[in-house]
Amino acid sequence: MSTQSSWDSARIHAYVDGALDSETAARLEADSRNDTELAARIAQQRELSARLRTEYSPVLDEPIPQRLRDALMGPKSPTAIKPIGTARKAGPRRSWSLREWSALAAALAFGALLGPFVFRGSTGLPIVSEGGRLVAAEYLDDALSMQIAGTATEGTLARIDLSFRSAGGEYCRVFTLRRGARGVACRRDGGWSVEILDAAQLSASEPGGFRQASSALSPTMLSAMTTLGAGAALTPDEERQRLGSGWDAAPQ
Amino acid sequence: MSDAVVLLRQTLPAVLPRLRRFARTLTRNVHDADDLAQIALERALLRAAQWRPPASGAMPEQIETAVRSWMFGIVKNAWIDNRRAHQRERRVVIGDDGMTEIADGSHSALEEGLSIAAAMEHLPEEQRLAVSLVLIEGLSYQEAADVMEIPVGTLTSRLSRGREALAASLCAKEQAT
Repeated sequence: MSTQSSWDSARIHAYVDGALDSETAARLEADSRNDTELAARIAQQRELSARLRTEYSPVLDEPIPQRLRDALMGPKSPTAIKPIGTARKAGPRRSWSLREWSALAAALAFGALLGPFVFRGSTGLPIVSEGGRLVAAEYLDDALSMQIAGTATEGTLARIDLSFRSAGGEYCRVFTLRRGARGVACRRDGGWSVEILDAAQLSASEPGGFRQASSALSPTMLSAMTTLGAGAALTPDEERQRLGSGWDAAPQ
Repeated sequence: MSDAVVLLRQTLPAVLPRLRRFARTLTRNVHDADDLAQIALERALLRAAQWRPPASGAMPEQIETAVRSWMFGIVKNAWIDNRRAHQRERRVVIGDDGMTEIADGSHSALEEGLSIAAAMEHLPEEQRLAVSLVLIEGLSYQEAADVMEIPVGTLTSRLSRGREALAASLCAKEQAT
């Protein structure tokens, strides 16, 4: 019986994983000393495990993000967390209307990739479909309503870059999502309507950081802002005033 | 709060780094992995009463192992639920996560780390789970089979196929460079 054929992959794998009984393991070890091919196969499998651990283990030494530390504390009240399964099964309350699909198609034509942002499971969807339009939700809604442009701190999921008034008098804000897309949302009907989402400026950087490399606006964004008739950017003082009295357009 | 629930809550912080690592092997990016870890923690605490601690007098390591296995199962189920919920929508909107592909395309030279992660991403889900639990998390075949809720024989065959596929794709990359 030649050694080459007597050790199948399954037993080599079991040996490397420490799952082979000691007697068989000893025989395999003895054979591997005289069989370079067998030794190479064992070494290859060991290297595979080592490379996988090297690749994925750095996270073990990373600080635990605040949201996970919060999650460890458990639900703050019985209603604070919806059961995940039911939340997800409920999904979108209804199918999308033609109008929403058109909005999406228009965004896609600009090179935007909405998928990862719109369909994001139960935790913190930043953009949702509501009343026939795409609106900011969760942390994006919070940032649009409460963040002064340029004051985002590290670890925030949405950053506000600047604010302006559209030709129609609405307040609009340019935002950047941590996951790598920039967009414009305008205040309308008591919510932030997402006018444009542009993922074309993606530049993969270190994981977890904002992927937006520059503060320059892409042609897509500039053209969207021109369409909106963007005026001069609001000053920080003007923004603070909005934070106090709300972003809804004053009656003209 | 029962003693078991107290024990679970006390032990969770110690197993969290491993949960994050396990989640990273399943998802495509760091943010999604932490989403998954967060969902698993929330589920676990909602269902804390369902956790069965090891017999009294168990060593702290045994308790940690028991919590870890239970949590790995919750992460796995949350991940599978997530995949099911999003498969249809993803296909309609943008295909299979076109964004990652675009981001990856900006790297002309794949580094080793990226290539082994890319090879993992290409594995079928069930093989990736097996590889992750045994090769990275160091679970025994029986423990991994329990987490995946499959017989040990099925686990070892998935593991073998996953290993062969990873080894093959890594060899191919090395030859290509």
